[in-house]
Amino acid sequence: MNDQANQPRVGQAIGASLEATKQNLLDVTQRFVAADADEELRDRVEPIVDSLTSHFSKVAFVGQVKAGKSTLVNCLTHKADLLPSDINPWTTVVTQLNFGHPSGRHSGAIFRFFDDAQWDRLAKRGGRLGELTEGLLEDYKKEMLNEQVEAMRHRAQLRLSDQFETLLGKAHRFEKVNRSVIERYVCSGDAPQERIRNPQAGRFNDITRVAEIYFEQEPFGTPICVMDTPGINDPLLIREEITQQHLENAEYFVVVLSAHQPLTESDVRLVRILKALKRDQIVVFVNRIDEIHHLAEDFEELRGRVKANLNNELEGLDVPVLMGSAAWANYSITGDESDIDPEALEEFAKFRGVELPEGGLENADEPTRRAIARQVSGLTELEDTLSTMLLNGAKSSFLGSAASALVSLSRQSSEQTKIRLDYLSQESGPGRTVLTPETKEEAIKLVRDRLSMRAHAITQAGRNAWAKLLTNLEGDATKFAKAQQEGLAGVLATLKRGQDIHIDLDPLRDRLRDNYVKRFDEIQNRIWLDLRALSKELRELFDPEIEKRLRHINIETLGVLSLSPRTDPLYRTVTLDLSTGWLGSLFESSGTKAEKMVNTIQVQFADMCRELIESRREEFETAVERSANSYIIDVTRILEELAGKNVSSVDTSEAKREADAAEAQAQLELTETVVKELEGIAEELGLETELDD
Amino acid sequence: MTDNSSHMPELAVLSEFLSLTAQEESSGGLHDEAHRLYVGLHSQPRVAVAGEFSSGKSSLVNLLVGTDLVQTSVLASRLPTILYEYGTEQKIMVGWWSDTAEDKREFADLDSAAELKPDFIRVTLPADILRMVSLIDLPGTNDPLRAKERTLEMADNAHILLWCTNAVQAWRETERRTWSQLPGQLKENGILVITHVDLPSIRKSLDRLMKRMTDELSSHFHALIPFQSPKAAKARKDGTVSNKTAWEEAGGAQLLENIATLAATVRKESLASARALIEKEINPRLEALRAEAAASVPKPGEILEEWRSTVDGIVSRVEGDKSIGTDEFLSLCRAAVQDVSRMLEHPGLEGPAVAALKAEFRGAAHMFDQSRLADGDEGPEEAALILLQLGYELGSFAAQDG
Repeated sequence: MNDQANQPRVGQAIGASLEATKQNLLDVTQRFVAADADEELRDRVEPIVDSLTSHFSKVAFVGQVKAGKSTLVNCLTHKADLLPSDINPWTTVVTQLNFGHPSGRHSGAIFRFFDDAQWDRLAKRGGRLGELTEGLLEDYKKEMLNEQVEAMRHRAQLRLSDQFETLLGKAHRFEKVNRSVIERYVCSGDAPQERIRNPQAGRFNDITRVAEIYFEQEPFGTPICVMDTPGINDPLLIREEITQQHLENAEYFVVVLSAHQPLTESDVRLVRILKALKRDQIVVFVNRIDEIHHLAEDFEELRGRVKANLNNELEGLDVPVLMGSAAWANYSITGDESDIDPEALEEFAKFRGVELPEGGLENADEPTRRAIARQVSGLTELEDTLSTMLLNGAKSSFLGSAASALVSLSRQSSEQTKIRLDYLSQESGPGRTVLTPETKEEAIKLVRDRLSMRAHAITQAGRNAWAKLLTNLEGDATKFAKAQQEGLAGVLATLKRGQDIHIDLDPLRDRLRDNYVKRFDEIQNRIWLDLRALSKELRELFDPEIEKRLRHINIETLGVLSLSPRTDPLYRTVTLDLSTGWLGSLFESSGTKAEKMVNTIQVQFADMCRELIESRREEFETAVERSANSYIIDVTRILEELAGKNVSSVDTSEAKREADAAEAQAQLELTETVVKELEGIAEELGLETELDD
Repeated sequence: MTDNSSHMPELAVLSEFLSLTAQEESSGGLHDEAHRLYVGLHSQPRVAVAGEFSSGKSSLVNLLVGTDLVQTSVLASRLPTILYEYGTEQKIMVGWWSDTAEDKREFADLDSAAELKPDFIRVTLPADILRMVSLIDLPGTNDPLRAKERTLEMADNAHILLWCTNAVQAWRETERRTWSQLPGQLKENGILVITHVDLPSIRKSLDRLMKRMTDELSSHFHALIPFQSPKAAKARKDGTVSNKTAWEEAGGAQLLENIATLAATVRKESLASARALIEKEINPRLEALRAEAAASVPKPGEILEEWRSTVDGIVSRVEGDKSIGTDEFLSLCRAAVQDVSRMLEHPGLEGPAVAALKAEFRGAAHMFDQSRLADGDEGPEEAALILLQLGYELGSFAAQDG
């Protein structure tokens, strides 16, 4: 049992099953390319192989401040004490731990600072926001609006003197990294006076945006990025804003809750955002069970309740709910007992049916105690759940799309070889009369023209839909601002001395997000249907004889399908998010100013909506263009084959033709094997590989 | 509840002013202010115990009043606001905001009281601390299973705030936001109770946590008290301290001292404010208000007239529209009863006959409020009978007078 708790479990490393499938696909693909020497085919396969080898799973740990995210990340990555975990919530930076990064960078770190614009937005509340609110807040500078950011700037200046202005937009790179380096950037240490005593700790924290730290792939089974985020529900709003903006960079989410308060409104809000964004690869980890008195009696019911409440929120999306303790996991890895209550551990171990040595935990040797802690910590369940999630997620994204593209390409390749065999085996076979170089060129031109016309129409329809959506969203923002405006008088009348008003923008955000996501789905679905219909339409341009040969070619739709909505601009902090603490006093002095302020909602959110739409529109257009190009390449290849491109001159000797035929036959057999294997993998991944007709 | 009115002339003035201005709904700040001061002087200062759900509020309240009435497990059921007042024996009763009359029913425990879905539960106990202050245990905030609006309603009537925050995730944005929306004078008398400081993960760096809390919050709270519920509970069984050292170490002594100090301050301030208000605002108006009231006393005949025309209205409404639903009918009846009740509350109307009539109408309003009428077809019939009965009573009252 010795040290077992320390070791990554052999063969069950997180993501190992995903990696095995991926490797299998790559091996088959290699044999495929070796069998078919066609260069154009290789050009088509190459980006698919790249998508496989460069894939990097991204897991984000999200949750409220002090739910135990950093400790849990340390345990999962077997880097005890790597990330500082402090009694005060000081993770202010998004930390990306990269294991086996595809760039080949496997050590060191890069710390990226805010650039001018970001710092400006955060610390000076200037830029566009500044313009909008100018003159409105002038009199209220004392009113704490800028308190947080001022404090942040003040600290940065204190630590970095004026150097910090020159650091903005830059990054610091390290070939090697250790805890004390990380602390300089990631941990903000204690109050300012103490920092001067120790000027290194937290020195760059205030201006650091992202910390990227690099490791070998071990202990993970697949290249992976584990992201630790600053907590939501933090008194420092800026931290929350940073988290919101990073949510959408990840595909997999571990939502860490505290067993003290299993599922608060803030947690529900977070889960709703994830759901709205279609990030459904989520696992919930209820942490800190070691701190709940006599949890054992309530354990199952507690888990049941969390699960029921979540299901309620997620309308049927079944999210695994695990219960555990990062403190126990940490103890099992480090042997550091200072955060552990042995009685709670023993009580819970008994409840879980763990066999304890005679005399209880107290009489067990250290390795046994640590192994027991590991067993009940929930870490193993988390690892297994993550593995399953990674595989499932890959199936519906890069792995699925690669496998399905490869099945289609290998089928085309086998079709090509069959065409060639037809030529070679029959002196005046049907193949010979199919296409002349001229009719071939005509056919290609016909397809190309029709395709480009239709693709243009699809793009145009998309643009119209996006434009309509923008008008729609702007309408929502205007309506909301109006309603707030009208509600103000009522609120004002009942306002008591010392009480404050707060305008809650979340309903607007939710509304915009839901509206946007719904339309996004519609647009995506429309494009998908249009592309499918187009595949059919294009094939029908040909005689049945040729159409049959083209049956394996479809316009790829996975590129379009794999796009998902991004709403991060919506979660930017706007002026009114900070309204608690001063909006009330603004009213007392001047109603008009406050009204103007509320009106800026419209303008601020219209900006965000525009951004929301433009980036995605371009991505859709690129995806459609890419699919169209691949389609032309594939069709051309088959048509060329039908025009006899790969067949030696018809005048060659019988012997030469026979040799060529034998070679083609051999290639066909190899390719057919590859097709079968690829179809097998596709089936395993649950993909539809049957032909349309 | 101790009645201080005998030796406090200010109370008598406030009470008169309140009844004279009772009719003027939303007459603005003055009536409300007088009411607040009246409540403040008339009864013990009220301590609101607030915080997010599972922040240790219930353990704290149990400890202060020396009972285990409230369950403290993470699975504890959701209870409404609980009001603790002094009484010679333990009683559990229920109440509704809209209800002026007291509900006399008693319950064996909080859960069975909560089944009626009351707006609040009222508990009387012979606990020492309740001689000094009454406690309002507010529902926990940030709970997705609870509607937000009403949780803090009763905080408006409190004088002292105990805000519980769990040391594990101390003072989060949601807490700060909820706290900032509390009335200003309540925030000025706030004590921040930091719970769960006995957990291993907190113990070793409590000083750093306290440093952060002090830096951020000492200007917002009268005191910041790290509190160990389990230890305090052991040291103070059934409301009496058995282990003084442990009680002090757990934060219990400090907590009680601070509550006592604030309670004394509140009393002093209330008295001073009441005097100032009486002198500046009330006295100058009192004569005019009295004269106005004397002139506007409704005659019994007028009240009867009003009643008849309202009831006639209901009758013709019912006759004109056969499809009128039970609910609508009942709410019309209720409105009629409330209208006349309000007229009867006029301070110029006095005497045992008025008092009896008032009681009748209150009782009727109560029936309608709590829909304690029979289910199905008998409900409307019962309501009609009540209206009829009230009409007789009013009629004989008016006849006596005239």
